[in-house]
Amino acid sequence: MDRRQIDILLEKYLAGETSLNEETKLRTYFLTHESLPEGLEEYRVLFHYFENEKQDTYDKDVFLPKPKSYKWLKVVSGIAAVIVVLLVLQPFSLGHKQGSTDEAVKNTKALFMILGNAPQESEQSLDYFGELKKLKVKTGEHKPDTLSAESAEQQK
Amino acid sequence: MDQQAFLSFITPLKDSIFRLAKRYLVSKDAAEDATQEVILKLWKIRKKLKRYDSPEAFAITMTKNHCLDQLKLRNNNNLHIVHNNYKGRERSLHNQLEAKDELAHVSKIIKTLPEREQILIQLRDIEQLEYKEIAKAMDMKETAIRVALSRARKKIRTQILKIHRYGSATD
Repeated sequence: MDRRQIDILLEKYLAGETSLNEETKLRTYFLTHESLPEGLEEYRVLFHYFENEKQDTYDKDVFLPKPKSYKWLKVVSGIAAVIVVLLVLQPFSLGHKQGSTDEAVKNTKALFMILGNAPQESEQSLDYFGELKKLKVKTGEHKPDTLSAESAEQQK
Repeated sequence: MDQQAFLSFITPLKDSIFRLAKRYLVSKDAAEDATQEVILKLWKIRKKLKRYDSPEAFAITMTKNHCLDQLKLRNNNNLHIVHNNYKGRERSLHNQLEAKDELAHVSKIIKTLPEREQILIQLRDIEQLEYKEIAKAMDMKETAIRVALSRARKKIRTQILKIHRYGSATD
């Protein structure tokens, strides 16, 4: 590049009219020529500054948090499912080996006896407070939809 | 965009992000923090990045906005960066200037420019981005960018000349 070309490019540069390619030419020229014609010294400083600034780098490691992986969750839930299935099936397999059918029937009957008393007991305890007679829900004498009307009357 | 694709997107870009952040925030530490945060933000939205027609320009915009937020926070906390005044410089002008000093002077001159001009110089003359990219990143028209750049370049040149003439006159 001769002096004339440089002057033209510099003029364009100052006017904001140079292309990137032309700016690169200028940059290269001023970075590679240490002894410059009179009157171009300020550009040497300027383009050296630009080049120097561009050498500044971000040297820290790029830290990226791992994207939440659901792989381990799948494995864990798979294992959990197997354990649950085993736990559910275990009593049945044990029952066949150790327990007898009679015993199971006996136990079940006992359980029903206990449960069978429960409604009566709770009726009695409600009766004790006199609530059951008022509401008459358990006895089934009134349909549920008439209940609210009746209780409203009672409130009056 | 998986991790590998993201890394190859961010690797050539991270230095530009860092330098731009440094232009805004001045301190190296603050610029490093800002860079890490911008990279994280980009990482979080990596799936959407492809939708932008220039993810690079988007990254620059994000950096700019992040830095402006940081500066706002600083102002709210009354933390001001005190720029070096020019007393020290005048003294050193009596001597032959070292190459490093010369560059430091340009740096100081640029810091006296309006923020927008500083950023445009950063994006065009240092990062060497196309006007199209700068227009997207800064949300400015290309003609406005050229006008502002022209103004900034002329100012910088005048200032450098002032120093040099003053320097040679006292030698």
